[in-house]
Amino acid sequence: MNVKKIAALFLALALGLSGCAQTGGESASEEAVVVRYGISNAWDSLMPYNSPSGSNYSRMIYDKLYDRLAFVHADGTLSPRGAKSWESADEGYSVRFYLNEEARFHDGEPVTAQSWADTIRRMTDPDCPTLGRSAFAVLSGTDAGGAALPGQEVGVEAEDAYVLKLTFKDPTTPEDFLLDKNREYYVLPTHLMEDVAPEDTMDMDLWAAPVGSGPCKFFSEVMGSSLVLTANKDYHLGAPGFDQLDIAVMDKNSLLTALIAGDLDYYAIGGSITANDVPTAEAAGFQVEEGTAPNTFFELMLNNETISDARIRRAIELSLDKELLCEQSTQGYGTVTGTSVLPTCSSYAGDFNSAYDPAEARALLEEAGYEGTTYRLACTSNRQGLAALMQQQMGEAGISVAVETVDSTTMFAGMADGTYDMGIASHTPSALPLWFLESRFTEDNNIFRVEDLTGYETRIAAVKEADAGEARTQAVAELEAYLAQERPFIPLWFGMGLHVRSNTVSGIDYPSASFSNENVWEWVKN
Amino acid sequence: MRARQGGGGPWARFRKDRRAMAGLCFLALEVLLVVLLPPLLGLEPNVTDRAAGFWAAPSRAHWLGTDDVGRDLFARLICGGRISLLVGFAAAGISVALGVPLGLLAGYRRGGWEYGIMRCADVFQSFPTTVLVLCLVALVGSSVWNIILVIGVLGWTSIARLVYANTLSVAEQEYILAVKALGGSTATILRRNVLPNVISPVWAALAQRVGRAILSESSLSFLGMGIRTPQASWGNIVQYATNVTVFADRPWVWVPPSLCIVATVFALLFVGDGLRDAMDPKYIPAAGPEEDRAVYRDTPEEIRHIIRGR
Repeated sequence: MNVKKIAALFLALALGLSGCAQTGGESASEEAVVVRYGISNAWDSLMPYNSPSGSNYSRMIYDKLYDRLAFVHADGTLSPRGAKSWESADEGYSVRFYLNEEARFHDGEPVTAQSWADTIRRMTDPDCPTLGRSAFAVLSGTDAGGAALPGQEVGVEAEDAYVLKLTFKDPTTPEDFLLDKNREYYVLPTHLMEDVAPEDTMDMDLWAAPVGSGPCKFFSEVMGSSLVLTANKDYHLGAPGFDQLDIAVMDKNSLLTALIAGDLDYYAIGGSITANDVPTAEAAGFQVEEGTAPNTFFELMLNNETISDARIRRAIELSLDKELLCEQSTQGYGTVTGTSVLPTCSSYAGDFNSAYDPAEARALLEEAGYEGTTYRLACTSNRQGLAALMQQQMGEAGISVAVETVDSTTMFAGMADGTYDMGIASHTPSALPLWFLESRFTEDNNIFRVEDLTGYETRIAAVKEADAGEARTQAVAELEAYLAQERPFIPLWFGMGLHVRSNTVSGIDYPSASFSNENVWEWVKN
Repeated sequence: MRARQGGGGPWARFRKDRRAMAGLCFLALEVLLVVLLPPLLGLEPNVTDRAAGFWAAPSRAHWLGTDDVGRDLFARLICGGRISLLVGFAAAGISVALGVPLGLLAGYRRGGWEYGIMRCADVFQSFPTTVLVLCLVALVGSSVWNIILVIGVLGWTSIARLVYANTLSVAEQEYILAVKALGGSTATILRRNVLPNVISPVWAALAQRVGRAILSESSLSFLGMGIRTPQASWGNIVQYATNVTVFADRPWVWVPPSLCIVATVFALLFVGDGLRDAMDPKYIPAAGPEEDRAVYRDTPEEIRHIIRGR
């Protein structure tokens, strides 16, 4: 074979391969109006109750494919979504949801109260390998992990074709329930699951090409890399103003660059940027808007088993200059705190913050007999600077710390199993007094490795049992005073979000995206 | 009569290579700076200057400004150089320490040794290096010494291949057969007769390995898997450039460490080339061979001993 023939063969091969590549990247339709959506972390499953991480990134995907009961706005107000309205019942022990009769699954089947009830019953079935089942632990007839108790009915009932009733263990207002749990309750196409045993639920082929009832339909997926969804033109709240949503996973640092370069129309979550990047975004012709409510709560998780002396834990708090740390992290868009309760919460009882006092920290360490143990502080790579600053400050007070950079899953797993002594974490807060505390001081989720939970459990129960108003504020104050004394974790600050507005898609509710829901049915690609 | 090795001993030949000498001087200066400047100037790479603040621009107090934690970037550049150079030289040393004996064994003993060692090298080389290094560092943790170990161990294959190829050729030479016939042991033959004749390209490769190790560490740090906070390295300073604002508006953050990496790698390449030429026993200078009655270096000691005894 001569050189020309070989060259021709290679050329043909190259063309063929490029043709294949083109086919792989085809859009759902020829003239589709596509919204290009960036996300910095991949979803770990397309089945909402089978997400090992339970991350907000996964929730943003489920939010498109599946329907929820309501839409939670950044200011804590609620809008109808799967449910048109709701009301409290049974003296506060139940909530009745009136579902939207127009809601349909992507295969055309109506979404009924029975669909919701069957979903909840299946997910609470102990035989079903549900992940994140603790979200159902608020319902009557379930154990602390959210699994149905033998011989008891789970607190869910289809009263009518479109009336769903949820019954709780404790009196709960519809607003409190939705603010706390809305992002964890999805309706599944149970009509497609009738012949499947609960234990086989997660193995169904359905989850490779899921059928939901959300504003977008599944089209194709490259696991961990890209997801193509098409607009659900029959969505009961209105058809999205685009044909296709192309979701691509990319490095967090590349999101703003891709938006500026025109490779993206928008990126999750809420197009958030740091104050440092605001001039860059504005210079590139983008508008930046400030969030309307704090969207992050930063905490330093502590391992109460290895740092068993409360005096050392308090010394750690006193050694941290939270103002400087907050400035480093938020560049002026944060407020330091000594509590996880938002100041906007009706039961807010004060900030319980301890001022930076390295001398007092050293005295406490001496009193506690701290012998220079080196603690392992875990953080994610984007918080290395923050960790280094904490390490310096603790070092100035005489506390030895080694920083380890890991991914967030490893960090939380390492905190839960006692590998790490400290960890820097952030969460999306809500206006409920127990949004953070309630789920972290239980036998099933004791991430701070507290030996005796009784003190916390008693005070948390007192908050839950107290009537709204002064009594609840008082109960919160008692709980917070106990937390300030024991310091099982160190609250750091609440951060406000900054959002870069898309120049190509209108109708986006940026601040609400921080609360794990996006109003894609109102998005319009210009 | 033999062609003389060329212009005196290896050092004399090395000195004649201007590029190599320039590279060596640069590296020596660099090492001196990273070792001496921190104590002389009292550089504190891990201390936040609250007065200067975060991301301060270059000033008299902070020649290269401050980073996201308010630490002096000049101090971090100098101290980062220590780590980067340490990683480079130590990892290259490990690669050579592993690669040379394995290459010698494979090329000289052949058979099972050759098959085992070279197939092992094939397996190592069939993985994308960066991905393999990333996986291993994720497995063992990203301390300085772990990174040195991983980069060093994974670098043995290129050295071993180089030595192996040269050993194959040298092992067939008549003088090796002569030493064998005189009863020389394998270890003696490898150490005294084969090694000196196959080692010269390793000097060039060694310098390249140092450069590659520095680049590997920089890549790892750039990807967020390298030297961990609060330690500085050139790579993790360059990592700041992944942020579009730093890249576009704060070149003083990432340009100096990038230049250091590039200049160091070039200097190492020049030194490596110079060493290869200087250490090559068969090297003939550009001016042509010099007549000399000196015994050619590849004459085995055993034979020279016999000659002297006559």
